[in-house]
Amino acid sequence: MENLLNTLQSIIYEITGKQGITYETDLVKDLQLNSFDLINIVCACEKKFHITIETREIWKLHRIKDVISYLQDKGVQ
Amino acid sequence: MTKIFLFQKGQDFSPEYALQKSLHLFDSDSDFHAVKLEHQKSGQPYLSGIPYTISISHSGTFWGCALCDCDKIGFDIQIVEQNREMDSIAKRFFHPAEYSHLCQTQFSDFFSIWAAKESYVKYLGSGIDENFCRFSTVDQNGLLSAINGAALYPIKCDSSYRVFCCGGKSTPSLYYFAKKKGY
Repeated sequence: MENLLNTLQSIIYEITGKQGITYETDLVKDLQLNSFDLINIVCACEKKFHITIETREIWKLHRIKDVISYLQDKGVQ
Repeated sequence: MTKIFLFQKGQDFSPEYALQKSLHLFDSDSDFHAVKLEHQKSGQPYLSGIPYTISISHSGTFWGCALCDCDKIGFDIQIVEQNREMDSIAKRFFHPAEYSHLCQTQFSDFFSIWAAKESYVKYLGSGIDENFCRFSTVDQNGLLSAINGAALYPIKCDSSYRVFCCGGKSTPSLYYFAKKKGY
C-alpha cells in the first residue's frame, strides 16, 4: 500500500506540482484539482499500471485512499 | 444576458468574495447576501433563491464563473500546459474528428477543444461521462460556433489560457480582474 502511495505521489507531483499527499488527501477539496488535472492523473495511472479506469468510476475517486483501493481491486500491487 | 467574470487568484482571494462581486456586477439592483451556492448530486452548481444560472471553473491562477438569465450555461477555463498527457487524453476522450484535427494541426487546438467540450457538458449538466467522446467540437473548417444548437463562444483574456462559454442567447460580456492583460 505504501508503494502505491509513493507512486501516486510521484504521478501527482509530476502532473500538478502538488506535494504533501497522504491517504486522506482529497483530490478536489485539498489539492484544488480540476477535471483536466484528474483526467491527466487517470491517463498517467492507466499507462503506469497497464489498466483501464472506466470514465464513470473517475468521479467516485475522491481521496487518495479511494484511488489506492480501486487500484488494488484491479490487481495493482 | 450572459456575463463572464474572471479573477486572478492572489493570496487574499476567496471564491465567496469573487462570487458576491460577480453577482453584484451581474445585477446591481438585487441583494444577493442571502443567496447560497449549492450543488446538484452531479456536482453542477446552482444559486438558490434567484432565477440566474451559474457555471464555475478554475485553472492555473484563475477562478471564473458565467452568470446567465437563461436556463442553461456552461463555462470552462483551462491553462495551456504542454507537459500534459495530450495524446492519451485525445485518443480516449475526444471524438475521432477532433483527434484527426489535432493530428493535422500539431495539437495546437488541444486546450481549446478541451475547454469547448467541458463548457458543452457543463451546459448539458452531464459532466464528463462516456458520451464525452461521442460529440465533436470541430469540423473540416476548425472549431464549431455551436454544438447541437448550443452556441459556443471562445473568450479571449490571457494568451496562456483557453476559455469557452456554451449557451446563452448573446455573446457574453467579459469582466476581467487580473494584474495585466495577456492579449
